[in-house]
Amino acid sequence: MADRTSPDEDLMRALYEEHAGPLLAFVLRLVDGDRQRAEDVVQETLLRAWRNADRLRGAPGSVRPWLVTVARRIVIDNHRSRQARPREVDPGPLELMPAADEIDRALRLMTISDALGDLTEAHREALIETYFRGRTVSEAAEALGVPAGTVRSRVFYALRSMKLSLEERGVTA
Amino acid sequence: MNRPAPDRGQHERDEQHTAVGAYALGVLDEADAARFEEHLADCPECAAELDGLMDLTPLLAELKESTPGLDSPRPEEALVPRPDPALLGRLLGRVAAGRRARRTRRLCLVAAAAALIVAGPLVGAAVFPEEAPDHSTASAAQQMYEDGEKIGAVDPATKVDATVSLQEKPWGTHVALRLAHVRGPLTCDLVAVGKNGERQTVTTWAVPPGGYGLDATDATGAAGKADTGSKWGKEPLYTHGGAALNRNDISRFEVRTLDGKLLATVKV
Repeated sequence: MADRTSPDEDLMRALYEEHAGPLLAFVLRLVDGDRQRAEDVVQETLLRAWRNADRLRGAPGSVRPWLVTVARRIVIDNHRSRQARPREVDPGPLELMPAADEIDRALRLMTISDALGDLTEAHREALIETYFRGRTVSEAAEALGVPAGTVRSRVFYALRSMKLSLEERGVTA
Repeated sequence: MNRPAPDRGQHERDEQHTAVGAYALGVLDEADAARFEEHLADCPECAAELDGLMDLTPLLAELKESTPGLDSPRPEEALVPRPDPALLGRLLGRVAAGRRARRTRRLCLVAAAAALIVAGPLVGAAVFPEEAPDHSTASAAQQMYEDGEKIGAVDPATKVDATVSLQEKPWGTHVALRLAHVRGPLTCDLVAVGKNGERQTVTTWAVPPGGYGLDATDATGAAGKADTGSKWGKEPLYTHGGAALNRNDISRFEVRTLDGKLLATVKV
């Protein structure tokens, strides 16, 4: 086929590059870390985004909220249809949560995740091995096989870059 | 720990400056934290820095609390997950399929316009070049079809022969479709209809002018006797997709044209 990279494919590629990772992180939270399920939801969400691209293009900045809303919807629908019998139990935390708050929160988390993703490998690793794993600098230094001072300064520069990057994205605490 | 020697004072001081990040996150061990606090008492620079970084900590805490799987061997996968590259491949495949369907739709319009002008019965066959079938996709879909639970029906009115092959998945139901006895050109979709009436599109595709799964007698209508060089589709179509419905929650599948005509119904 002559048009190997059609505008359609470019658009899908762009959607994927920009949103697939953060969206996957969001959906993983909703499906309790089930990777395969989450990827299926991301796939369906991005396809729907691509089909609605004309409308989404007309409203810049609204792609993420739309993606989050649609992905959440798909998770809930899947969850419902997977329940064999009519519901007698609690509707589950997903549906009890106020959607608007939840979406704001999801967008914020995605932005933080974006900022974390923008760090250099070494900086991100330092943050993950200390803070996110719940280790001290000394423990992480030992696990990583680098001097504690190196971990300490990487954590520092990682935080500085994240702060800048979050400010650029308009997120403040 | 000994007091630093005077000539190491500057170095020590620099080390303390960068400890502000780890201190803000609470990841210094006790002795290091105490040393930093001592340093902080007379370092306005660090005090200002700490102030700025403290804005960040609630955000990081929120991310940490709401991310499952941080105790896995690869917590990075949970925090900044990178989708399986095959996902992009699948998405682009669906985009390409959609584009082929649209192209066929456009060709149909061209053909319809041409038919109005020439008013010949064989225009369709003459205008449409036969596209080579996509063997790689066809065989993958066929394999999936072979693997599932098969239920089929021939529509009494259209004679379209549709068989679905189902596989239960954690996310719903995987559906492979074998379609025969259908003449083109058409664009179609396969819709899963839930017992509660919910409708979900499983996949869409185009039927080329030569049709799918036709024998010679069928094909006279599709390609025309005068056009003996033209091919009709002897092979059935295999395609596949998925629905976010449990196998047991599906009441039937419908094969329809995109303009709404029902071609076949398979009750499951």
